[in-house]
Amino acid sequence: MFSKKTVMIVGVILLIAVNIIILSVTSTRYPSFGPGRIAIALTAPFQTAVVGTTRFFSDIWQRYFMLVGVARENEKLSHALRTSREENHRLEEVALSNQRLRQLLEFQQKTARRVVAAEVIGKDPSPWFKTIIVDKGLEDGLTKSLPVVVPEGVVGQVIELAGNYSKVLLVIDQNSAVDALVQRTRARGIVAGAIDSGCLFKYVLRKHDVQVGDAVVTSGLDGVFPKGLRVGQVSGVVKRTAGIFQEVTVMPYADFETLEEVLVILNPPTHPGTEVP
Amino acid sequence: MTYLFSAVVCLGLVVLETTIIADIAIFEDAYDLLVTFVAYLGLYRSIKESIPVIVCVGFVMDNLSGAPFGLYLTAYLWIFAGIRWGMRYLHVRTSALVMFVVPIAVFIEQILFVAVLFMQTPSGISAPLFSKRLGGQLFWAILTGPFFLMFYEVFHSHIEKWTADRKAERNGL
Repeated sequence: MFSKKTVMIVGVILLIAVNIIILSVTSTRYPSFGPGRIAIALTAPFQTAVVGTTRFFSDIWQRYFMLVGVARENEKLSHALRTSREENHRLEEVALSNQRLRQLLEFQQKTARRVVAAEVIGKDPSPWFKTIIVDKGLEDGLTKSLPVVVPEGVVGQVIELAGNYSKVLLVIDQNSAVDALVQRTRARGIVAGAIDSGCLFKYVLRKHDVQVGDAVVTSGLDGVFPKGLRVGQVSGVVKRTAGIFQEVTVMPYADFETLEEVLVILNPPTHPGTEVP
Repeated sequence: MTYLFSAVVCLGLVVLETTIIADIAIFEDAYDLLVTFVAYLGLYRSIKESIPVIVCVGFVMDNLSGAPFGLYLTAYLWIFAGIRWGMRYLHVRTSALVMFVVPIAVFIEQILFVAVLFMQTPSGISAPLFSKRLGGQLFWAILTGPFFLMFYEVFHSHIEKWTADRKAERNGL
């Protein structure tokens, strides 16, 4: 009835259609798959060994053969600067929230954050997607959706877990979304990853005052990230004549190119918006 | 032995591209090295031998990456199918065309990736960024792809010869 060629062409077209349907279904969900922990557990020990070896030799080079004293001093100063920045930011947030709370005559106790430090042992093989593998997992008390941070700001959230390893979706990935506020004006929006670089601060109403240089912090309303964590700095604002939202771009504070260690927050807020910075 | 060779090579490539290459700025636009192995399987190995390896590698990559699940697997299977189909009409193995197999495979993979990204966020990808990344990946693929293929072929044939010799020795005894 049909020639072999026609059957083959129809078969290929069908195959392509099925392929597109499957990919469009999987692309609307979290990029993870149940037995994925096997794949992570299989490759992660080798990644740990390679990263450990390369960092060991790179440390020897940096610390012992080149500018021993300068490297140490630089490290100390960088640490002090990071601590000061974090402290400064914390005080700013405390002052603002104190003001608001005084007005409301309410008081809520700040919850102490429990964190676990993790080392980055692998990065996403594709430049189009932004994830990392860290050396802490289920056995260290990690669960899905836990926030991951560095002193400079928000890094991402845990999306896949294995025994001793986890996959973290970075805030710069296009699948990431963080509910956030402009620290100065409390304008609210969603920080989503952009494919080219940085992040987009979506759904910020045109009437809100947002300026380049403004700090963007987490709102705590997404139920994942505690309130008041630094996300990034506004790097561009475009207000079009039409539309109810403005286009805001944000440059994250965390440097994802040089990310080596991260902190996973083990006790994020359980009820959105209940924590005070 | 063949599957062991494939497992060791693939694991090595996965670890290499997620640790060392990902950290070196000069390789910012490096291509997916596993494409070279898929191209090698398409060029030199049988379908029966290749499909299980490609499925396993695709599964591992899909789980290590933040890409939608199935994207790497899809890309590798289409690359493999494309190479097998191409070999029916062109004498790729024995001509200079072998130099272009890896760049073409990289091109197919990137087109698939961008198509999926486009499905997710139609306005997300800018043409200059795509051109830059694709150009960089093709550059590296042209530069290094043939060497990878040569390495796999030589190394694999040595292993097969060694295994066959050991078998013959055992049978002879």
